[in-house]
Amino acid sequence: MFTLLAKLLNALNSESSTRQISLAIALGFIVGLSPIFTLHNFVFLFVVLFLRVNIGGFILAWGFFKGLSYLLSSLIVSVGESLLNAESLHSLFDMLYQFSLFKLAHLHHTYTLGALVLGCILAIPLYFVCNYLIEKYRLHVKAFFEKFRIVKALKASKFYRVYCQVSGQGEMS
Amino acid sequence: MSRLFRWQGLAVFFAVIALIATFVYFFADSLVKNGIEKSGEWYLGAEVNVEDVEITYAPLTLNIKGFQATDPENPTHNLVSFAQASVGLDIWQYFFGKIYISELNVIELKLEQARKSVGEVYILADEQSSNAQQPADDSGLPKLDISLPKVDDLLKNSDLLTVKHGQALEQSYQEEKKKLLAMQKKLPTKARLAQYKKQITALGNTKIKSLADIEKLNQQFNVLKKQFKADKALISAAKEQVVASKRLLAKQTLALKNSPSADWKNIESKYQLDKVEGADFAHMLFGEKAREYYGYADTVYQKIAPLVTAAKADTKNAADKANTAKNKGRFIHFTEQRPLPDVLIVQANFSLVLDQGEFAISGKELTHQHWVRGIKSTISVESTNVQGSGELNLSLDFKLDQNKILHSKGQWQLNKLALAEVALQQSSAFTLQLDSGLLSGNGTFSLLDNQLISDNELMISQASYSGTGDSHLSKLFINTIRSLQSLALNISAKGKLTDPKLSISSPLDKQLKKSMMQQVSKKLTAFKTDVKARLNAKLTNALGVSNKEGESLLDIEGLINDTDSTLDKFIHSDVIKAKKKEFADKQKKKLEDKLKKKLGKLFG
Repeated sequence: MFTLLAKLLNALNSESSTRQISLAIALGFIVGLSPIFTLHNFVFLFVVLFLRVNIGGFILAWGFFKGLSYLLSSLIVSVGESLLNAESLHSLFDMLYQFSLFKLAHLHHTYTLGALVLGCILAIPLYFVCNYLIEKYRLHVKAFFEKFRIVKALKASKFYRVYCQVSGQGEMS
Repeated sequence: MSRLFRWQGLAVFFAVIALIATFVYFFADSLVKNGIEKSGEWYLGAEVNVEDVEITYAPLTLNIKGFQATDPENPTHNLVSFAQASVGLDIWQYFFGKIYISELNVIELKLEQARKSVGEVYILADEQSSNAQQPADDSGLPKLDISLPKVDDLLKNSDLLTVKHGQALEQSYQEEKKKLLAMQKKLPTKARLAQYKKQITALGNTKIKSLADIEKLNQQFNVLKKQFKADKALISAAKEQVVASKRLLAKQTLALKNSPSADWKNIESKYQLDKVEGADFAHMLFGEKAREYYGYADTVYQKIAPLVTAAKADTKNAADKANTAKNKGRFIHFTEQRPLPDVLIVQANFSLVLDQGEFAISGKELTHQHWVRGIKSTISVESTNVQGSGELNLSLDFKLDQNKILHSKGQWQLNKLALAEVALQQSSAFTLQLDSGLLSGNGTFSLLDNQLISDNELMISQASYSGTGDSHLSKLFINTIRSLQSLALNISAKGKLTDPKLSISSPLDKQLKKSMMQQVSKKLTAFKTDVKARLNAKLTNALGVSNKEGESLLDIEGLINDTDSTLDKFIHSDVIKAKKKEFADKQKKKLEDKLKKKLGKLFG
């Protein structure tokens, strides 16, 4: 866990593209909201592995948003219910239902569809918000916090040693 | 490009997928084997063993060898076991959340077979089953199992109404007689009545000279009248006693006259002589067996019933489900071009091996959601070696509607089933066994929810029976049965499936009653005549005594009436009136004579 967190912090502090980290968090959000064993999660996992996104950030975001999904479950289900029961979309779902892939992906389940749709819609603003926050962090927050004594104390801790090992700073020093 | 894509990531993804596929390919057999064992143990609560599982992938077929499921109520035996089964599964439908088995074949399916080692039991069986079977009581025939009593012993019985009422009548006569005699003693005697007559005559002979004499005579007569009235009151009381006694004795005499017929009814009832006519012989003999055979069907139903009731419970818990759906979501189904139920076995074949023979069972369209495709499930059972040579054909269809109500109907036919050593009655004093015979029959049944209607006809031919009985009646019964070469039975079951009302009728009833009545009627008629004659003799005797006593009562009554009329005459005697008239006439004549004398002197 320490290693994962250190990797994320390292990524935040490193020269890694902010987009890679933000995309990892956004994808972690989509996968985290959905039930684990769904077809679309395999697709997103494929994307995460295939595209150059920060894997540590993705795993942490997945775990965090998985926890958050329990609080959002009723919202997720209601989104799925309203979509699957919408009169205007009935013919669309009727047509999709004839495809095995649609049923295999369990997209006729209110939670799965709600999680996918809500995740995909919210992932876009989340991507931009994360982009903005990471840039701000790199510019102001990092320098500001390093002045504090507590940060200096933290640098003497075990966590910092792990962080240094991950980032390769320990070897240099 | 390499800045955007991570090619090694792609390799990792496919490597993981390949690893999973390899793992599934190599370990699927043991995973499925463990899955069957664990899920079976969870469902049954007892050890489940599978010898081997083999999976072939094109098409996906599961081959299961050596399946054994321990009976939790009897761990030394398997509830069900089979040598081999093959399951053709549609894996695509399985991923959609549906179990679609195109073909299921089970070979050497056995029930209640002994295990090589005792199976483990994880959940204790219901204790309810321990009280389910109560030993059959000695009802029915043993009630008839009483020999006829001796007539002398029977008539000595003090409980006989003829005896009781005879004794009561005799006692009443004595008591009433005593009362009347006591009254009689108080009544005026003949001497007293003669005295009264003498006194009245004396009053009549009294010479009246003056009015004072008349007054004196009147006073004397009033004194006598007072005595008469006192005597009359005694006679009235005696008369009332006579009426009361007569009423009581008449009532008791009537009761006594009716006693012999009442006594005969009691004797008939006590010694079950009336039961021969109304006995339900077919039910007595075959009721227990019919229940026993029905028990097999019930056992099968009890294993299937939880599936039906679980389906019903699903409907009842719809509200709970809706609540759960709010948090966990639900599947919303749309119109499908080829809809399928959640579980469907298109074709199933079982070869069932029982002690009674081998049965080929085939089923089609087996599911619990018949409304999805609108096709009923059908099952057929065939055997050509039921207990050796019996031929059985059974076919049934069933469906569950959307309200989870079970609709089923079917028919069966049985031929040449050899019966041997079937115990029909085993009471303490009476046993009857069907040594050999051939059974054939047919029947229909229908089921709506859990309400059963079934009509069945059975014919036992080439039958031979044996049995022992202690009493004359039971021996007669056995002999009658033994004389029957064939017999037909109609068995109908109606009512709740788990506890139907069985009704068994047969021409056997008439045959038995006729034969029994023929054989017993001679003895019974003699017995009846003897008892009735002796009862009537008792009646005549009792009535003879009462006649004698009655005559003496009539004498007393006559005497009372005579005394009463004599006293009446005395009371209404005109002796005073006559004396008054005589005196008046005398005075009148005296005045006439005196007047004539005076007028003679004047005109003389």
